[in-house]
This record gives sequence, C-alpha cells and structure tokens, in this order.
Amino acid sequence: MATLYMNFMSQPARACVLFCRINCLKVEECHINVTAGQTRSQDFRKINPLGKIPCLKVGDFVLSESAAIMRYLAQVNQVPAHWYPRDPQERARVNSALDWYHGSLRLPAIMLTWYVIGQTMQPTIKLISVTEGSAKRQLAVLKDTLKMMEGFYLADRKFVAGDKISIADLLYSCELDEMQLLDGVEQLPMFGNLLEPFPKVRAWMIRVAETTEPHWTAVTATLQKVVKHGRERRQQMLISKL
Amino acid sequence: MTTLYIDMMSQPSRACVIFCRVNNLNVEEKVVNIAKGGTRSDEYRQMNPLGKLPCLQESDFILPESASILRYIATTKGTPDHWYPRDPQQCAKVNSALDWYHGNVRLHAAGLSWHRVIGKNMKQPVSEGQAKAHMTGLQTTLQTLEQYWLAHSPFLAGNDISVADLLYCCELDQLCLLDGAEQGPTMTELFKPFPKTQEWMVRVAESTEPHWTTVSSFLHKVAQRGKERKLKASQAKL
Repeated sequence: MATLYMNFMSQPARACVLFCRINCLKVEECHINVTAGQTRSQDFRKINPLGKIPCLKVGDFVLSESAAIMRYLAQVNQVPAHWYPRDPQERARVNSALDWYHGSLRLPAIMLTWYVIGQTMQPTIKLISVTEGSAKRQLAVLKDTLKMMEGFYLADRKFVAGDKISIADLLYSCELDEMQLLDGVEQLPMFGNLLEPFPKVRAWMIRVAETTEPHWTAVTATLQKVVKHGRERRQQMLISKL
Repeated sequence: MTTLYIDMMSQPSRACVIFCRVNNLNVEEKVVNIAKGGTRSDEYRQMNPLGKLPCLQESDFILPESASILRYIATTKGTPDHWYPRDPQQCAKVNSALDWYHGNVRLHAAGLSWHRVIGKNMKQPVSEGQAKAHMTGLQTTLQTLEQYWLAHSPFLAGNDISVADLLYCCELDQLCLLDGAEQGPTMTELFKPFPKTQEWMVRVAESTEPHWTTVSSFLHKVAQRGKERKLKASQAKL
C-alpha cells in the first residue's frame, strides 16, 4: 500500500492528490498538519528526514518532491499516457515545464503565500517570515512568469506541454490557484486583477479544473474556505476605513 | 544533429557539456556569451523564447532546462544506465534530487555568487541583504547534503554517479568565485564543516576526468583572477 503524506493547503500536495484520485490509484492519503508543526515532529522526520510534504511511502521506499512523486506514480501505474508521455520528446516537454516551475512559479508563489500567512494568521510555530519589500519583488517575478505562460507555454497550446493535460498542468494550476490568497491582504492585488491581462492563462485554468472534475472542486475545497475568509477580512478592513 | 547552446560560465551548461563529453556523444556545442548579451539577441530569443542557457536543439525540437536536457540525452543516446536509471525507484531518486536542486542548490549558490561577485563585477544592482539570506539558505542546503543526501551513499541517488551529481557539483563549483569577493567566507571556509560533501565533490570530479578539468578551466581562471585582484587590493591597503 502506498501512502501519500499531504495537506490540502499545500499546492504541490494538492497536485499529487488530484493525480491519484483522477486515476483511481491505490494510494492512502495521510493528512499532516504543517502549521501545527507536524512536519517537524520526530515521528514524521523518521518517515521523511527532509521534513516536507508531499511525501510518498511505498514499503521502505520514501520519495520527496511532488514532480518526482507524480513521475514515479505515472511510471508504475497504468495511467493514460498523456499524463507523462512515453515519447521522448513529448516527455521532455513535460519535464522541461516541471523544471521551469520551481524557479519561476513555485518560488514567487510560496514566498507570497508565506507573506499572506504572516499578515493574516497567528501561527503557533515560527514560519518563514517575508517582508513587504520581498513580497513586492516576488509579485514582479510572478507577473513575468504569467507573461511567459501567456506568450510561450500557452501561446498555441491547450496545456503547458502540449494539447493534452499532463502532470505539469496539475502542478502549475494548483500553485497558481493558491494565489487567490492574495485577496486577503490589502497590500497586494486581488487575484482576479493579477490574471486580468492574461486571457490564455485564465482560460487554461478553467480548462484544467473542468478536465479534472469532480476532483478539482473536492481537493480545493479547503483552500476555497480560507480564501473566502480572507476576502471577507479584506472587505471588513476597507469598510472600517470609510 | 543535436546542438547544445552553452556558456562555460553557466553552471548548468557545464553539467550538460561534461555529460556529453564523458559519454563521447556526437553533440555540437555552440557558445552563446551571456555577459555580452548573447541570450538577449533576437536570433537567440527566436530559437528559445525563455532566453536562457543551456538549450538543446534537434531540428525543430527545442528543449530548455538543463535537468530535462540531461534526462533527454540519457534516454535517447544510450548512455550507461546509472546516469538516469530505467528502474522506477532508482529513477525516482534521481528525479527527486534533480527537483530539490532548483529551490535549494541553484537558488542559493547562484544567488550568493550573483550578489557577492558576478552581479557586482557586471555593475548590476546587488543587495547584501539578499546575499546574507542566500548564505543562510546555502548553509542549510549544505547541511542537508551532508546529513541526508550523502549520509549513507557515495552519490546523491545511491552507489553510482547520476546526472544529478553533475548538476549539483557544477553549481557548487561556481562558489570558487567567492574567493575574490570583498567579504568572506571563501569556498574552503564555506565547505569546512561538511567533509562528506567535500569528498563527494572530489569523487564526482575524478569520475568525470579529464572532462571535469577541461570544462571548468575557464571558470577557474576567472576565479583565480578574482583572488589575485583581491590580494592586490588588500596589499595596496597595507
């Protein structure tokens, strides 16, 4: 039995959960509470010394890193080939998108996520602190990434690595979806405004969600609740200033 | 014909070049000079809109991103299995290392080199605050290399060298430029607390000779010049 250690507020963990559920894989989901410090506990560190989620365990074999996890699951299970194509050039395009993700999308998005958490939550453990200056810098990086997605990755393709959905689309869309959290702080633009100049990116996000229903709605439900609270909080703050 | 666009001052370019030369592959190397704006030219951007190096081309097929280039070459050119294993769990270990590289090794090593040396030399905006943040990140990365990735095996993914080892070592080797930075630490000082990591870097270099030395020679010349400049500057102050 394979176990996936995950949390619905973790972008890469959501991508892995989606992949498993869509393909009906025999993978048990084990929820780990990050903000309560569970990834730093001795019990979890015994399983994954890197102390990160998502993490896959199959017997003695432990695997970190969401992209590596999805590649592995695609290789050892009978899933439709489009998720991680067998043709070397098609596969290379998916790999290239998966690589570009780390520096261009993951980095700015996770820094912005930590910034929002720092501004809006009172976490019980010490999390990574991000200054407003750093957040604004990462916002600029994110805008450049969206421009590249609009003008290159999605310029003449339905999905980031071709005309069929792949594991790269799951990772990208879960990461970008988390940026709805920006709606919770006044110092940052609303998610809708951020995406406004990028019609192809917007259309692609809807396309990924529709292609992965009903799992997309189920897996993003927790995030949506948090986003809703954030939006209400921002509205209340604006009203209180009138 | 397979063409690899590279710059010998680019860490991931060097990894791809060493991989091709070690395996005697029929791959054409085309140098693009980053410092002289080669990656910003219309010609280059038309071929690779991402505007980065390295980049692989096989007629109409264009492939950016070094880790993907290494995987693609290993898969299609019949290189020995240990570079990028066919066994799913072994392959997954290499993939996991290749993924972890971006946000940990690449981010902090390249970030530190940029803010302390390269960016300064190119008169680009740099920040000592960001350099310090990358220093902290790099120290955590080296600790993780020492206590996790290399704790129980001679190479990142097990007993044999893989493409991940090449990518990591070329990135870390770039830190030799720190020896010419205004403030410390030097590369030797930085790596002093991490003996397993030091041994592994020597092991990777030895496993890929004579190509390791040839391909890194330009970088080492630049680093040596930096060290000499720093020495002259400190002597002038005496």
